[in-house]
Amino acid sequence: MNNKNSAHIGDYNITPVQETGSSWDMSGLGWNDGADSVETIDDKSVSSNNNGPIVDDTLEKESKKRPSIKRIRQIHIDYLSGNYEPSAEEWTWISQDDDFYDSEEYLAYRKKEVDNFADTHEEIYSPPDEKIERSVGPFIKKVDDDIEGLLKVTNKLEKDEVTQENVYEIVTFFAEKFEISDIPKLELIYDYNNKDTLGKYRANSNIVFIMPDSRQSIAGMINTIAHEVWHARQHQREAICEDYKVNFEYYYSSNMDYDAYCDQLVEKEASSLGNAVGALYRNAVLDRDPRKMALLNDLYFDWINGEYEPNGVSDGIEAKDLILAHKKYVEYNKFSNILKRIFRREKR
Amino acid sequence: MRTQVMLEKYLVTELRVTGRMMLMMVDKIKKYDDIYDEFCYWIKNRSYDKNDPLVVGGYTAKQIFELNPNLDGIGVYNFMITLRENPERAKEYIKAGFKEL
Repeated sequence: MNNKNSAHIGDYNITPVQETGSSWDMSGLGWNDGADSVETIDDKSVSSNNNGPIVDDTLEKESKKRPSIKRIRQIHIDYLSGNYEPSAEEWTWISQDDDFYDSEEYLAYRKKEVDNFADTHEEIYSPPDEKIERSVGPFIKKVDDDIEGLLKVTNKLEKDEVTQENVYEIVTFFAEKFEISDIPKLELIYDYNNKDTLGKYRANSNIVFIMPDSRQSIAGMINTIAHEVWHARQHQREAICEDYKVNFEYYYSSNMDYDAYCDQLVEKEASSLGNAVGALYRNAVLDRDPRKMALLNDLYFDWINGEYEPNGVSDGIEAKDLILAHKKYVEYNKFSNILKRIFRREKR
Repeated sequence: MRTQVMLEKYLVTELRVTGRMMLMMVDKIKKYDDIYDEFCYWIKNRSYDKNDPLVVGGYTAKQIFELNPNLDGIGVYNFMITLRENPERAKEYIKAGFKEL
């Protein structure tokens, strides 16, 4: 046989099916880089002993089953893309391909999926504060401009009435403020399996889930509701906002990378807005309800005496709330004492 | 090679993270050799118990998992990366109890 890629064992020739570069490596079960072809042996390897010829068809079986390196790499890439599940045998070949991560095929795949993507989408996965402020600022102002409306819808919650109806009033309030045309439905879930999850939004059915938690303050719950309703707005704007569309498609789950979860655009916006709205509510209550001021003023003294630590988590109270409450309480009492003195003078 | 294949199987088959997301997560978790090595140990043994565990920002992987049992293995070791790169932020997350909204 004159094919320069063929080898010769005794009277038998081994020839690749295609001549585009594939050749049989006589040092063992290997191959050289080549076209996507399956190699076959023209005839079996034959040895002999005193009992006659022994036919060893191992090489034939191996070469008939094992695809080319290019095919194996494509299988590997299809698996990584979620498009194919390799068989046990294919996994063996994949594991033996030590050069995969330096191969042209893998590097091209990486370039297409990640290298270009990372450069152009930095503002989605670590958005600057100014970008967040531009998005949510106007809507925080809308809530601030209707603080009486917020206090009205949250009034029933303050009386410990966390009901479907009461919470839905707040959902509707925020949906109107955030200009959401398709108002989400609401489900309250008690005893959710993850105790650290306070809310969720399901886009395909447009439902806000709230997990009432006795450890959470009313301001905290309002924060959660605003956060989830904001997600509804983001989903409803995916078609016109490329950043939202990309982030929801390539979304970091909290259980896999908590920091990336918090720092991605859709979550950072919702957290920023929720925190601001919760603070607006808290300050509005402090402004209007002297009894709350008195309670927080007591806590202020407990705090400076080392008997209470505000941590902003379980009861939604932070150090700055106590300082503000104390200041207002002092001013309120000063004013109220002035009024009392005036009243007593008038009485005389 | 086998280690990375093991990592890929964990992400793709177990966690259903594929394509672009999978590649981005692999890039991040391989950033620091000591964290990556211990993460590979976890993938192989599915345990945070080991002799001389890595300590980052005052926490071992086991302690991070105990603080937030909702974290998957890769979540624990990604949090170690956060403790190394942004210790203040990581401690805020711990203080706030890893709340999820």
